[in-house]
Amino acid sequence: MTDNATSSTTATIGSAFERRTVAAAGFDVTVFEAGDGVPLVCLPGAGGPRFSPALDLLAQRFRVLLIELPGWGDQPNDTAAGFDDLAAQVAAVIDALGLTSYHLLGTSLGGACALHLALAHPERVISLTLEAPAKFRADSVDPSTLAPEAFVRAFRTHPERGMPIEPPDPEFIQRVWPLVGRLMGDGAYDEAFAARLATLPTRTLVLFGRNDGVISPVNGPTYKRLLPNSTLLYVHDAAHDIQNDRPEAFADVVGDFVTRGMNFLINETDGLINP
Amino acid sequence: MKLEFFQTFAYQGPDHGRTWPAPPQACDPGWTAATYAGGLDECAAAVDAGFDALTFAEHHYSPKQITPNPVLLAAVAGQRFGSTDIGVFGSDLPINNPVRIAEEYAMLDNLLGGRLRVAMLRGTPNEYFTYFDNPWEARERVEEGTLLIKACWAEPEPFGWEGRYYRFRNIAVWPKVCQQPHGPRILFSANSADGAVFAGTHGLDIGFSYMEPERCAAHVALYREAAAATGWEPTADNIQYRHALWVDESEERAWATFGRYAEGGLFALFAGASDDTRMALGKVGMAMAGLGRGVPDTSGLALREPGAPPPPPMTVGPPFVGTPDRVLAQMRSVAEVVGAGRIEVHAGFPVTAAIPTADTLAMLALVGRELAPVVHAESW
Repeated sequence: MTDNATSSTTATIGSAFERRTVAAAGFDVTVFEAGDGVPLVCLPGAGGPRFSPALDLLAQRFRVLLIELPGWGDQPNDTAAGFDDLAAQVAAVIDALGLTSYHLLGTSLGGACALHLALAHPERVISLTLEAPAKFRADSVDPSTLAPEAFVRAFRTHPERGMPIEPPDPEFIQRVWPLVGRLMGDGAYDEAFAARLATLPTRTLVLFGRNDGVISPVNGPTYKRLLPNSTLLYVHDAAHDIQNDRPEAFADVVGDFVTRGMNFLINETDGLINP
Repeated sequence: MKLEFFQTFAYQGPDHGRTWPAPPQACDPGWTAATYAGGLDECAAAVDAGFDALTFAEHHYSPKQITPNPVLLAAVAGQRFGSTDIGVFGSDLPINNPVRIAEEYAMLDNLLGGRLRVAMLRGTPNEYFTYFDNPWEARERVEEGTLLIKACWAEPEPFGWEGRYYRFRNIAVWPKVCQQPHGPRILFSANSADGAVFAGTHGLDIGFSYMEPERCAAHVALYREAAAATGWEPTADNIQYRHALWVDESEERAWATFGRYAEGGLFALFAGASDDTRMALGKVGMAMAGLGRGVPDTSGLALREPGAPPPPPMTVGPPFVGTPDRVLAQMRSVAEVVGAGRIEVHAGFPVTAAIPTADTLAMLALVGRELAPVVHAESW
């Protein structure tokens, strides 16, 4: 399969997902769900839930649940002072979904939240995948400050693929960005949090697009250094939004990690040409 | 201006005709040993003559250059000539494992104490018959492989790579490169426009092989433009020009010697291959230019759309042949037109047979007396 031939057209991306609302932690939270099998809970970035050809592909193998983070819907989130609070709210949503254990995928801001969630509930998180996580942000930029062309370039090496990319609606920024700012803080290296990561036993895959113009991939090694059971993987020819830039590659590597854990380091592809 | 000596290690044994691949049964280990020994003697003469660097390249299955692994020769030469810069120009990256290449160069960089520069090249069309690699993928593989190698040298923690053509789940190169923080300077071929743009975009040096200087200059402009777009400005030291060299006391003798071994030129190297094989080689060449399988053709001056007419074939510039004064004038001209700060030469163009080591040693002595000192003294 080539990168140029994504499995779905723009019109059909995400069409397999069913929307429902879950009441938890004082919020009515929207959850999008597709597929069967082991649950893969997905926490989106600051832009809110977005479908991608990658999630469509993963939903062919797993039960994918894309959760709108509390505060990104119609109700403001005035109670989350930081990621620990947001993670507790998300944990309540996952409880309400009836999931006792699950694989967790967090994207950008959702990756930071996923880290806090895994720290709080390591016994429930079977594996953790962090796509361009926003917890450490050396050499990174606030995408809300970017001009439209720079915004697209920061997120996508291939804007022609996957979901259309455009800067967010100013009304959305005005409504959500105060919460984003509160959660993210100044991005300075947090020694106390770094020490907490050293205690996380969960097997973790950290993904960065090599062309990421939002969260610089120079932050990747920090996670590898701090997380004792982690592996760092760069996706070539992809920017911040790996799921839409290189959907097959993303689904392939995440699916392999979810299925095989650290055994995904072993190449089990048959090399026999002919018997 | 810097002068660099490209040692090709042409097999010194009896002529084996112009075919590729050459049958291994014709290779005599005694002549092989003599070739390597004589080639290193020529390197010593080049160092004595004042060349600034010794360079080596990867070629396969042929007596014309018995250097399938140039890293080995670079290591030997680097140890023997302890103050001379070493260049491997270069590895045929698309037919190799890039992580292995990164590891070997990291070792070599340490063995040479940081005197190493390298090139990541696509190689000549015949090399795609070497390990049964797909030539249509050559351009994208050399670009992705080069970025992967840069990552191998720079990343502080173990990492994986999910590429378009390369997948590695676990990379941690030891030893680290000696030249910190980025590793050896990487040269990229700018014989194609897309190569020039890629090199400018990613902070690489560029090199031209045999191409006429005026066309090189157009590619240099693209290189500079791409570099400026990413915030840096190449100097002449970032630009290299490669061609054959033969100097003698008289113009006639220089051309007579050069012509005796170079009869038929570049394409005559494969004159003895069957018509079908040469047709296949031509198809590989088209593939590497991005033609013939729906791949956008970017080998011309402008990045063009699929279906656009093919670029003009590469026009070969004149070799550096003649008296020292004439070659000096020619080098000045190339430096001015191309903007090159490095001229890389190999002794003659041995197609019909290898040039005897004694002849090359004499030629290099003349270069040392009358050419190299002037080249070094002048700032072109």
